[in-house]
Amino acid sequence: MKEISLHILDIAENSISAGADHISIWIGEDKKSGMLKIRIEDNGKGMNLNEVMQTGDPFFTSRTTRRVGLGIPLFRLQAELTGGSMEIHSERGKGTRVEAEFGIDHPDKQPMGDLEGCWMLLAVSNPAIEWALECETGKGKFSISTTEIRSALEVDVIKGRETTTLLKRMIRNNLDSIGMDLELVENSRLK
Amino acid sequence: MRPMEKIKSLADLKKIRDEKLSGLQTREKGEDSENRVQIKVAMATCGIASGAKDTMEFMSDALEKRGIDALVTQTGCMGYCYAEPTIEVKLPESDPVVFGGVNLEKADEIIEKYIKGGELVDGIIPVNYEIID
Repeated sequence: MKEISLHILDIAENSISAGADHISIWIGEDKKSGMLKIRIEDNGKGMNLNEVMQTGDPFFTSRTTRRVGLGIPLFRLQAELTGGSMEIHSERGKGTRVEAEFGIDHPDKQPMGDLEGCWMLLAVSNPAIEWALECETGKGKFSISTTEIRSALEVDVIKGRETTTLLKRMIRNNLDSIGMDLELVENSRLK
Repeated sequence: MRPMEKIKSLADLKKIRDEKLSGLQTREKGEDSENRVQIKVAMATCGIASGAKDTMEFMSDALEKRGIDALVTQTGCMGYCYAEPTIEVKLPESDPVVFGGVNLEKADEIIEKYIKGGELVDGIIPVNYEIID
């Protein structure tokens, strides 16, 4: 995985599997401490302490299709490579919060990548879940949620290429205006 | 960004969207999933790391552009991590078929040959054995 947004997408997939109906993604750039903070919070079934401890083990997974679970360990690795860290706070029946910190200027920090694309993909393909995205930099704050979009557009579900393309453009414009650098890279892998 | 401005931009978005959609015949067919092409993209860590996000975005975009009524959803790991990105395609009235190594080129081939014409293409992962009673 070459972009932080893909890690976010991956961690959010865990929240979906946990049966959450509200998942929020928060990203904050703190230039003072030089850290990029990321928080993915859900109201899913949560984990007990034992299970939280086990997420650090790549050879632990709750699924049965295979015997490894690399999502959390990879996210942690990328954070730690930049002098940051990752923490999981979870409580059975309440939900889970994954928090990570990345050194903004560290040469090993992955680019953020297509954040709006990942968020829209999650929101569009999981219409039963309420999605929120909040980004904060020294310059300002931008937040959006699927509830807000649905009521503004007067639709029951967000769908269609036209709509999602416009939404992505709107999110990008807003991220630009608060100076959040997504450091987009050309994806050569699939070409 | 103040809340007022934010709502304003969503309102702008609605305006543009309504203008664009007014000329189009929106397909609001019933969500009768039996008669639609159903596609599941495996989106676990292995899939995402191999480019499943791009595959999924391409699938939904291309199918809509080419006027194919399809439901593109995501699923977890199907256990074929070595062959990611994998997708499962279910054409109406036929058994689901799983394809592996679905980059954008392969996705395009699957749409053009398999979804449009029912012609099988390389990359099928044989999973759907049927047991004869």
